[in-house]
Amino acid sequence: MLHIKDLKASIEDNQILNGVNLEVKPGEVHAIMGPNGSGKSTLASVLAGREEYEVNSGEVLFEGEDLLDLSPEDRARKGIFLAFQYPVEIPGVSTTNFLKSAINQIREYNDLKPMDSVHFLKHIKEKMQLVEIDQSLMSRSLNEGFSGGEKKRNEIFQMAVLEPKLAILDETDSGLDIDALKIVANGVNKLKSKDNAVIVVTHYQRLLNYIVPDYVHVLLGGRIVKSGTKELALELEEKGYDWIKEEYNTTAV
Amino acid sequence: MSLTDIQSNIVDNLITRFEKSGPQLVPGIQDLREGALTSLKETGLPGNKHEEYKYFNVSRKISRDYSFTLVDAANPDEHWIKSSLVDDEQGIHLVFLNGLFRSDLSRKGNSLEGMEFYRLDETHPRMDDILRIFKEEQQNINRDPYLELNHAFFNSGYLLNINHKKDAQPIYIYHFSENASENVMINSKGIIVVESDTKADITEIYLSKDKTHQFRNHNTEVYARNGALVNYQIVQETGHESVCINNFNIHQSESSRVNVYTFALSGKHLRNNLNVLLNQEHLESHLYGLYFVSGSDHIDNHTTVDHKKPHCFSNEYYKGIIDDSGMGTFNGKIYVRPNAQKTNAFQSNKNLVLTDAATINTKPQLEIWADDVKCSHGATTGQIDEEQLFYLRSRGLDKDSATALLLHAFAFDIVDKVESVQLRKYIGAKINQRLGYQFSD
Repeated sequence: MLHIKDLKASIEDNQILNGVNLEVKPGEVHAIMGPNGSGKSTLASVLAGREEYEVNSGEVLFEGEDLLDLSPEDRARKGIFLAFQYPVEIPGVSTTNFLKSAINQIREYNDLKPMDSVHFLKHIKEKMQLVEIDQSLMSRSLNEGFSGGEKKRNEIFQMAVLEPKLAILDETDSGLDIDALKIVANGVNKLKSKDNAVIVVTHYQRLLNYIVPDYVHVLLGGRIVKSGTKELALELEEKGYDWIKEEYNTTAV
Repeated sequence: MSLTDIQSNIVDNLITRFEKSGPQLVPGIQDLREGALTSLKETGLPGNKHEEYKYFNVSRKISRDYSFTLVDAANPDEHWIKSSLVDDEQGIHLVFLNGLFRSDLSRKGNSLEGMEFYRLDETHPRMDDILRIFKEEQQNINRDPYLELNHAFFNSGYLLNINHKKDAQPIYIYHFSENASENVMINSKGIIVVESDTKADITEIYLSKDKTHQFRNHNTEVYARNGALVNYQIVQETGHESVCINNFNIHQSESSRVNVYTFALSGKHLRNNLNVLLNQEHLESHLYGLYFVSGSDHIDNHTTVDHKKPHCFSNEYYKGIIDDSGMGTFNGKIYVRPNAQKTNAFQSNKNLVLTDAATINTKPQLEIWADDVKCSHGATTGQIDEEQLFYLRSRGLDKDSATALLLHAFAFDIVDKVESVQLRKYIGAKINQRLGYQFSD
């Protein structure tokens, strides 16, 4: 589904990603872990098409197609979803209003008929229950005055509505208390199928107790230096990142 | 030849022209005209050295040889006119076309009970009364040169007196201009009196068919008597060619409340001077404004809120979108006179500048002489928020619709303040069309 080959990317002339390689197949959950400044959020941003980042070399294929040439909206229409680390507040724009347009632009791109209002309302009602989000939040301005937990839940809600093939959760666990974390994780788990995949970007192992990864990768100095299974996350939780830093210090650029 | 000479030549030329082609004036108006002429001859018309008009100079336009004879549109586009009326069957719709009242195009709603409407070129029983008040109140108002020009040369206008016992019917006054000769100058005047303890909803709508060259200089005086509640809306699409200058003066009596909403949506040379005079106690005034400047349009909004008496509240909130190579100006003056203790006066102006070639001049100006007051002001200017734009795009919205959505949200912050549903729809549709906004609400 997703092939990242030797990806190097920079922002304002600082190269952050120094050759990332990753392969994600349908049905898989991958966790990308690493200390602060290792390039986790950069990787998520580059995949979603944030324009401040410049790709210097390498390749990203999504279902065999070059992803890097696509606009952020076309990536979304092909089925990539980024759950933001810091979801923005947009006064005057209601979640339901913009989601209806988003869903229909995605459908149009994929040669599907637009979803009518009745089906749309039914669809979002179902998804609201999934992430236990209240109707009143839906009619309010997008994220405006939302608590940190409400914002993250709203991200997962939107993910549920748009039904992406590949979801990238960028530090979705940060700022969540344990109850909110369970709701978010529960939402993600219910959406999992053999056809879609999830990349969980996180600093801590905590979220991975609830969203169990098939693979765990450690990003360090802009490179994936170690990959393993969920046990690797537990080891990191216990020992921290220092031992990996020491182990790879000589090889990291 | 000095600048002053040029300006006074223009005035002399206008006087000659008016004497040749101006209307016969009803008695009483003559005095008003003469006072204004004297003052106009002294001050001349503003050029670009004039502080209040440094961004708005139409001296070249005004140097034409204007006629003051109003000419009916040869073949008015009735479809355009009818489809430009607000969709409100309960409302009273009064139509002026090229300065002339057109009863055939007007719609009078259910009844005219509690309402008097006169053209200003007719004699009527209330005229002396109204003119007396009008002249007295003029002493308290900014002596704007174009207001003087209007007093001196007005050739069109109406008087509206509202004294409802029950719920008011909304009143819409349209100023259409179409196929007009570019050499006609229309100085039109509106006098609106809302009697004590009466609620009124009045909207003035200025529409031009594109490519209409015209010089329009309008003045509306609104009098809100004791305890009156007035919603006064102004909607302007004055075209990408014409000149349209407006002086709106609001006079409030004790315990009245006036809400003014200005929507300046297009105009090659569009200027609004809005003056609110708080010369009695316990008054409340709200001024909302939205200007949407695109193409090579130039839209100026100058407001003055003059607190002369204690215990009054004023709140002003203006927003602007400046696109293409448009230029917008916001100048907001608040005066709190020594006497005006316990004043609450607030002002805010927010602008979105969409291109490198677009310009906004914003100048909040507070002058406070009283010491026991609460006042604040703020002005911001920025671009579309890139982070918000990326967020919406990352959900699948293309860049144009994401931009339209953000601009829509910015503009509807003001549109949503309008009380009337019909008007919100009317104004909203115009803005959405401009934005290419196609979302359902």
